[in-house]
Amino acid sequence: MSESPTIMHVEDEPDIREIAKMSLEMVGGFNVVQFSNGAEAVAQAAQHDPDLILLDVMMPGMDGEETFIELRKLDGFADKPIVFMTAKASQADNTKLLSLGAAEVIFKPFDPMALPDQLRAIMAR
Amino acid sequence: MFDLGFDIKLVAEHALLGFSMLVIFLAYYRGRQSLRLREKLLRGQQLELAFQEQALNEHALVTVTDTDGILQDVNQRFLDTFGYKREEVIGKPHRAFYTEHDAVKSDEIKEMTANGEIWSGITQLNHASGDVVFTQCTVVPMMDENGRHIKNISLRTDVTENRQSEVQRLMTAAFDNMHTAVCVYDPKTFHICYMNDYALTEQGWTSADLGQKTIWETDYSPNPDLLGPVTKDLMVSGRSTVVLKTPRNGREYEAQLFSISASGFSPRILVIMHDISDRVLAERKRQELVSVITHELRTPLTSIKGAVGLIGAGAVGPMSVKARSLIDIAEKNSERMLILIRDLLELERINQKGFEMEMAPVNVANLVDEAITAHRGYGLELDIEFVNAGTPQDLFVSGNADRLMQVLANLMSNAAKFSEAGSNVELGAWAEDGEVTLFVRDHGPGIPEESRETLFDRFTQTRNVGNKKVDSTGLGLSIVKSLVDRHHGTIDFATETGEGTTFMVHLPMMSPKDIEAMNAAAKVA
Repeated sequence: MSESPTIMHVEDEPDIREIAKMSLEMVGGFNVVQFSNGAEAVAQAAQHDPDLILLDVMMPGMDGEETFIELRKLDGFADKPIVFMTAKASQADNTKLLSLGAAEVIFKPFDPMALPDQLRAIMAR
Repeated sequence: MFDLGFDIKLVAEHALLGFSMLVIFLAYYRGRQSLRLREKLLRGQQLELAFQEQALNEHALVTVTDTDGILQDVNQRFLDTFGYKREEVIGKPHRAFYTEHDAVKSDEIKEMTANGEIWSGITQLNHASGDVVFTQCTVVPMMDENGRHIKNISLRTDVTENRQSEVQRLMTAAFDNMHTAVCVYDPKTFHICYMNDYALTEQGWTSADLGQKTIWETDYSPNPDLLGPVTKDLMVSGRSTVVLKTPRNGREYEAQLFSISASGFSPRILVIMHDISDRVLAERKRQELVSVITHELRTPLTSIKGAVGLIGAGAVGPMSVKARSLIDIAEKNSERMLILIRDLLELERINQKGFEMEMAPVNVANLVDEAITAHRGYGLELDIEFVNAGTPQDLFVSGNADRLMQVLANLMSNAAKFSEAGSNVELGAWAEDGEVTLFVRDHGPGIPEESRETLFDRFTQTRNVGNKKVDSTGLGLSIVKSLVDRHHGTIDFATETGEGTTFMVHLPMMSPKDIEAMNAAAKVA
């Protein structure tokens, strides 16, 4: 049996981190690594070698877009699927994030029961 | 008897003859004298008349017309002033030389002078070049000894220059008193012809500097590369205005460019600067607020919905029946809050100034069919059937199909929510007087009297009539109205308690010619 995929989740809201962790671990059966800010995530991403990165957009300090750009510069991260999670729901925001090279944009509030399947489908592409 | 050697009788006869001849001679002499005097007087009067005529011709533009207003004579000054040749004028109706604006005055003059009244006023006549000449005019009717109107003599003075300089002085004073920059330039050379006091102060110039300055030397254009093409476009396309956004001195300006033309003058471009900083700031604040609503409300909602969702799905263990009921309440209400945020944002978005929709000809029959198909499932959930009650083929409106579908979807969901299970909701359209009316009719309880006036206002919750409790954010109809407004349409309703309600959306109908033009424009774009 193959090892469970690892999801790296970057989110500044502790409650949302908690919900996402339960969703991804308990419902999805993934390994989950979480960071509360972009800088920490970029610094430690390489050692966790995640299969997919779930990235909040609006964060204090290094925001989601900057974190995205920095992650892409890391060795082996050029093609990793990065999924943005955002509370902004406009079409313009969505288009902008996808044009950066994101695999998908998931809008908050997300469905914790459906999130694991959404990520699994993205990884299978 | 004496004989005196002459006949006394003969002498007397001769004396009488002589006297008679003297009398005749004297009478003749007096007559001649009188005639000479009269001739002298007449010559004097003739000279006087010729002198007056010369003076009149030097000063006035004189025309003589018959009672039908046909020109019979004009003086040279008239011909010189208006640039016509005598043969182009004589025999023509005077009315033909009036401007379109003043043609009615010609009729007024004809009517007054026919009654023997003198007409006086300002008239506008066309110069041969097409320019307008303003004249101060007096028309005197000439009557015969029986009081019959036989002709009119019109005396005119050219007052064009006075009028123009008066208007010019007024305009200049108005512009100079404006607290915004106003500037006029030549579209060919870009030289500045005029700048109001405000603009001169801003540029640190005086009016004496203007002859040599070009518009390029000001900062009244966002960038020099744009000004040339914009000016050309204004002149070629004949469009009257172009608005450019120009940041200056740390503030936001809108430069409004007008193509101005006046007969006898080369075209010019008028630039008026509008300080829109406050408007831009207000819009930015509004967008920030929208962003805060989006982010700050959605973020806690994400946690609430997430937590409730995980518990509700049994991901953290089994629940008692009571706990399940409470979780259902929490889930339903967090969903309701989410819809409220979505609707609020949607309403804000539609009503914001820059909101744009891609417009195209929309086939109304197709729109109705698609709406019915798309909402069939929703209808089944509530045991409501959506029915096409008749929509003529080939009716078109100019609109955004998705947004019009959103309008119908809102009206259909309202209608279904307020209908009794098992009933129909009818959709359709008709055309009348260049207008297409789309309608959605339910057989529900009708709109209560007290809610009718405020029905399209935000947060108007209505029609919880009878036993039906309807879930609604109170924003749906506001969104519908905003979208209909954006389509240059109107919305109204007819309702009867216990019978039902019909919502009607009225939109301008597109003719085949409109459709062709719109499709052609879309191809060019």
